[in-house]
Amino acid sequence: MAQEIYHISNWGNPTEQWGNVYLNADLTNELYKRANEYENSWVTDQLLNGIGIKPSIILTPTAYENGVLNSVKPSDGSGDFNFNRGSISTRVNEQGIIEDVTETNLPRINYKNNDGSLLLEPQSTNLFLNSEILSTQDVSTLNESHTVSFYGTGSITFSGTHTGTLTGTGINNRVTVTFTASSGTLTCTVSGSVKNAQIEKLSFATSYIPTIGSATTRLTDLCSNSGSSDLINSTEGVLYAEISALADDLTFRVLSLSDGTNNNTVKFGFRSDSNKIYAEVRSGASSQAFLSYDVSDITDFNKVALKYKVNDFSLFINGIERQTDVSGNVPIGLNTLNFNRGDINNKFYGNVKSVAVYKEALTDAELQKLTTI
Amino acid sequence: MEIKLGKYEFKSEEQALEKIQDLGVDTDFEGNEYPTHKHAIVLLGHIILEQGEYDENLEEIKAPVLSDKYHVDVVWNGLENHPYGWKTYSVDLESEGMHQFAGVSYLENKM
Repeated sequence: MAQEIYHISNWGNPTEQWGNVYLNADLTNELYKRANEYENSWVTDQLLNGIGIKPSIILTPTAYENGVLNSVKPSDGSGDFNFNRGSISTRVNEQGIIEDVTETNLPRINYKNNDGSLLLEPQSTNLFLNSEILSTQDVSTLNESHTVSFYGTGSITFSGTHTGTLTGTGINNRVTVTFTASSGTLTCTVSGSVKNAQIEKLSFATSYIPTIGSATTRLTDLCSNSGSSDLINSTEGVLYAEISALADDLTFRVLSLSDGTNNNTVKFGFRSDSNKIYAEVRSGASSQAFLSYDVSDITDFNKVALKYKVNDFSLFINGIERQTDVSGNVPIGLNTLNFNRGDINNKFYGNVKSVAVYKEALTDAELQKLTTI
Repeated sequence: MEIKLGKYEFKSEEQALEKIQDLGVDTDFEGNEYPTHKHAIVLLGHIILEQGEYDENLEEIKAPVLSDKYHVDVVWNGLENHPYGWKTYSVDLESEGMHQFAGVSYLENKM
């Protein structure tokens, strides 16, 4: 458990600068007291200010322990998520430093420009050996996308299954390049300072995977099983999240309320269309409402809310009602909140600042306020 | 869930993909294929057994040596034995090998 009773907050009351004067102090202090790891409280307080205390479940990137991602609300732990990765990993901490995450099932709050969010990534393998300070080496490639990344001021010149050069821009800057290699041997010739280097078979760079004498794999982040039928209403409600994608890689990545299957779901996320956010409500294995909207960039944070009620569905993104559907039934037996579509597939990979579940259909004015950036 | 690690050398990529397909794949109503198993599979392909050597002009002095086998590493979730058809292609190493899962020892968890 954390050492302090109340967390320090710069939000709410600039004179006192303590969380206990803030509207949601009871929630965040309860979270603080029961959490093994607690951080990012200032951001959490801001997020809670926007979400309010009305939801039955609230998740912010704040508290966690090995195997568990703690929700702010409810404070009895019934809204906490199971978290499983099964391998160690790294994250960028609040100081902007790459840090080892040495417990295999510890959730990661990752920081970019001092902004913390929950990081959920797919499995990936760093094929470079001795990646901390890279030396010239050969890598076996397949005929698919590869992404190379590193920090430093040096360069990597590629020959063999791909030709080109990636040049560094600074010790604290990560440069990346994505290309489709052919099958065979890629020779990576290193010049100058190339640190924390990575080559992975993905179309985007993921968090750094340190290697020594062998290629190394970080396993998939799995975050699931929050909530219960007491916390989730099947007949009406709102699912809200502030999310960004890791890349516009045209794959299905969703979070959902469900009955543990894909037959009864309230879900939204990213899909096989570029920069599109979509939402779907399914009941009895058939689609009841399908809503979507093209955003400028899914790798930017977007605030998304999906309202569901019989013959009354709407999708709000960034303060505006983007699409509605006035015909359809609601799901049956919703009892779980997951970072997938309900049956472990279409896992959500991305960054998450907050998730909230409301047991009532909010008004348009409330949804507009909730999702305004 | 209890995990076991396995390392495999298949004759070809096609054979490896066929074995993986046999572990279970389904197609959803949107036409997307997805695995019905919970195992973590890494396709390593024809791994490099010996690094090549190059001069300062990137001219090859000695070619790298690639394995003629197609290598696959797996984290088996909840299995005590190799699935049907996999054991023949498993290898039993006395080291961690050319690939590892971060923070998970092959030697301590091998099937």
